[in-house]
Amino acid sequence: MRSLITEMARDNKMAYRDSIDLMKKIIDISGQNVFSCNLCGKCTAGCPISDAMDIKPHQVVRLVQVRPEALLDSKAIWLCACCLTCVSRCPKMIDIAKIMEAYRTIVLSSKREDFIEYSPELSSLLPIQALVAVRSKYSMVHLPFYSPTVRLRKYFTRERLLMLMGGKKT
Amino acid sequence: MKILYYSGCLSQSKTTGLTLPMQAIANSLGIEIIEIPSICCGAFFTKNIIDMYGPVRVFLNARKLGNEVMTTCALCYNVLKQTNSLIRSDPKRRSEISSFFGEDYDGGVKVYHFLEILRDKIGFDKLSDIIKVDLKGLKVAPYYGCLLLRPYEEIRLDNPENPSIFEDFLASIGCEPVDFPYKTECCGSYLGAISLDSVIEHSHAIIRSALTSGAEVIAVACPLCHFNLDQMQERIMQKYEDISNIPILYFTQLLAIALNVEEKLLGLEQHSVNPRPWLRKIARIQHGV
Ligand code: SF4
Ligand code: SF4
Repeated sequence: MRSLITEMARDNKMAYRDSIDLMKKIIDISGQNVFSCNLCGKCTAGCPISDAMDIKPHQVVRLVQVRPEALLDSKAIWLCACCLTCVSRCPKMIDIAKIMEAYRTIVLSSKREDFIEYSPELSSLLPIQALVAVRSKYSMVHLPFYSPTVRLRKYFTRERLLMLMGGKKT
Repeated sequence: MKILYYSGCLSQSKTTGLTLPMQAIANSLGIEIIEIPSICCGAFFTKNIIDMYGPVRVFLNARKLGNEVMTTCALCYNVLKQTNSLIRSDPKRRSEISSFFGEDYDGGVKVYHFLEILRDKIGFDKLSDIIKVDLKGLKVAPYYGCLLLRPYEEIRLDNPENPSIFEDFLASIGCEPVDFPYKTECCGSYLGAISLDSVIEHSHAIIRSALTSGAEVIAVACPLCHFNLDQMQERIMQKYEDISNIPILYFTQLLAIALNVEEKLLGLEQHSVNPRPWLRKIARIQHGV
């Protein structure tokens, strides 16, 4: 599957200005000063999910600074468990989970749909808290604070999002 | 001592072991708990205003009755505390919320976890005088998980990397807390709904680490940790052969056992790894058989 970046590069659409715009949005929603990152990697070292992530937590912080659009179609933003190990170990107190949440908000607000598909067997088993938490993390029940661009709306098809959220290989 | 008690959706849902013994425990400890109307706290903290409906509603309900609220669930505790701190630090969000509810909320209702009440208001040394059943020598692994400790700035319950409140609690009711390296690791929480494999992976590491440290039971404070470690244990064992069954108990259940609360209030039916054989072992220790 073509990535968002290649698609945009081909259409020559993701202008420098768009990139800066996205970075500002992410910093605004998450409230994190990504520029203070030391790139020490302690976040990734402690992250329980990092081995499953395509982009590791410390790379996330760096990418927000240099190429924020690269994270839009990453699996990492959906896999983050919000365990906050990274925050408690970061010497600069950067909350990476909030950055991940900012990305999810932007992607989800490009869709007005519910993306959760659990197996019936699991959903009868899972405690109510898990179901509620998953709903607030993965579905567009939020108010869209940030209006999406047409491009994002077109790019994130239902199938693509489900694939990213499930963390499956392309 | 009177305290407002928010039991969350637990009291109506499947995982009652955490909340069921609370009334009996409060009676034995001589505290009066006033339950506030249970609506869901949202179960996941986000900054989106719709998701903040739950926790703010809880606070508005609580505020009518007092300004301190206690909960046993690590998830509720985390969400409520983070909501409070966001409202306090973000005037814009506060005004949005107050116009949404038609009532201003300033983030002023203080949130306690039950462990915090035991530590700060009752005192662990006092607690050890009250307990009736001696759990001496029982090796319990305290599993904190994420929600009790992080993010530290907002929660401030204990040191996020090397906490001790759970150990102190266990020691005060007579158990022997075992130290194990995975006590603050994440179990995968609600990721089970999306990717069961990651839950199995992480829960396995936690259980194995507790077993290698010699634990006979794992104590938890969070319904999701309980689900992942207990209900998923069978699946974990299908995949990995290096672990054996270990009962997972809520800290309230352990406290209730120590306070000699009758068994039907312990909510043991909910467990998939039956803790009853283990309970019988305690009884044997007691009667010196
Ligand atoms: S731990 Fe903090 S400073 Fe270090 S790489 Fe991660 S985000 Fe940057
Ligand atoms: S909060 Fe997310 S990124 Fe940070 S350690 Fe946990 S899973 Fe990894």
